[in-house]
Amino acid sequence: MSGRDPARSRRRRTAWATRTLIFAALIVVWEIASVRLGPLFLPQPLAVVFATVALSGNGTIELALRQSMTVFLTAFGISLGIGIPLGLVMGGVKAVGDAGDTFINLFNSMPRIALIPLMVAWFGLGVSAKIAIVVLLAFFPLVINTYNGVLSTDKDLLEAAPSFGASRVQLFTSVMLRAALSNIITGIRLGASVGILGVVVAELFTAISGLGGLIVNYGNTFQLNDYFVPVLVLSLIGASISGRPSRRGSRSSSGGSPPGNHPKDDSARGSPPGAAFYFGSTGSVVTSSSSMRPRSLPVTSFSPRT
Amino acid sequence: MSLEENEFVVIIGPSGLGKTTLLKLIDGLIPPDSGEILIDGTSHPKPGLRLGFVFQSFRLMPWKTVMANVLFPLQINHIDKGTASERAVKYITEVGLTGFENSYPSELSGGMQQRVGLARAMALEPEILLMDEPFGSLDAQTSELLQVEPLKLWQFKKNTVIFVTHNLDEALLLADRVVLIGARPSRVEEEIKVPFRTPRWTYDVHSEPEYPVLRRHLWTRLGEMVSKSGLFPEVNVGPTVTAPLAGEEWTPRLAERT
Repeated sequence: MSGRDPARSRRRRTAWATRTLIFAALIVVWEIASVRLGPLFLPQPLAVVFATVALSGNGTIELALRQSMTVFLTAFGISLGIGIPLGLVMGGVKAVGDAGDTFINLFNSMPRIALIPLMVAWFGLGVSAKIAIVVLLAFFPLVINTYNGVLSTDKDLLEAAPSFGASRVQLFTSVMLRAALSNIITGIRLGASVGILGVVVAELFTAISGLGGLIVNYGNTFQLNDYFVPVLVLSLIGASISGRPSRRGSRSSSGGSPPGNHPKDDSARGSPPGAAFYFGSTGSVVTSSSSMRPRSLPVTSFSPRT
Repeated sequence: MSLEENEFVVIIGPSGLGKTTLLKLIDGLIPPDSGEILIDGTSHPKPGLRLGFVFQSFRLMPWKTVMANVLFPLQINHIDKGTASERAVKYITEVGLTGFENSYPSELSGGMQQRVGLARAMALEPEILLMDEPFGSLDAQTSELLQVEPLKLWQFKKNTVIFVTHNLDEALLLADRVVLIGARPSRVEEEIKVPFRTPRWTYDVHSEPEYPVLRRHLWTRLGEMVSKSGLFPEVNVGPTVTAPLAGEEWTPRLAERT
């Protein structure tokens, strides 16, 4: 592809060159800072590289990674398994959506980190408590984005399918579900990155284990060379999950609307569905509007009688 | 108001009186508050195979290819696969989109997208084709080029067509009968048989001697309705047609105007 389009490949090369340059600059700044501050406050980059090699060699990182990932994958699996179906049902059945909307918002606005002591009381300090904490964090972005995705289905399309005789179920499976796809993917991405955060928080607050555990241990004992290794591993995992949105899913939310001056379509195109989130300082996820329902999309669009 | 089999009826009237609603009623998307809609004597039509709908805003699924979009109504109506793809190919060809079967709507121009919309409705081979300002959201040129398309398609399989438009020229080009609907309450104001010979894409309908008279008449009537509605009190409909053309079978009904 890049071979066929010289302009694009040039752009890509420039981007990589810029990235490398910034990376090098960061390393240089780090090096200077560490020399100025001394190794007790900031280890030199090279020392961190040696620590990485050492900790990878003796299996410390591998063990911690396995512990953290076990918690993360189990918890995220549970969140997916409950969150997405719940979001779909809320979007598909208006009564459930209207009722659930309030409570999801309530729990979502709550600083859920505050519930960690409760989770410890319920589940103890072991793996199950960690899983509960991660579910608590990862669950809501999944539900909310799935729900929003179903709700933001183009109103015109919601009317088109029934006009050809589609039943409610067919409408849901062939139109709403597909239209929600890009939002569901956003939800998965957000849920996963909050989930990783949740893993570390859980490992700090409950029985110490995994990458979060290494961070506490090394941090509290001022072994800053080693301390930076799990931090870097976690950033790499986080970056690989929540990296640049792919363009694959974009077809479902853009395009297709007729070009030209058709005013009806502006509402559908103007408000990008979904990712109405920002990360609060406590790591909780908050919707940017109090109501999750996009204003331009009245819920009445869900009955075929619009 | 009643429609004959295989009749091409164009409905015109001022904006906002429920022409689209009328089509939805006929399609069975919404039940009537009062009165009845009968198709072949059976009341309460249900959306499905008997009715095809072409929308002003195309309403193609952006994630489906042209082929899949045309196939969609056939699939939800459980037409078997072989017949469905046969028909899809046939109507995609008829609307002139051969070679674009695997394109996505976003890759097509507005005119081409509406051709897909046309093929999608036609592929159902419906008894009644409902068209809601199908060319209203296209630019004037494309719209004019596409206008004859329903007529051409209509020749292949004659179905009853109910076509809503605001465009008088479109109405006179396409219709066997023009039904003028007035607002508040919405009712049929006048029905006019369009006398031009068919097929109409083979010659310039505009050059027919009755054409300007008919158009003038429709415009006058529309103007009356609009100014009555009070939305555009100063609408200028110009001088009214008072003298019918000599020897015309059609006579403008303007006697009551003074």
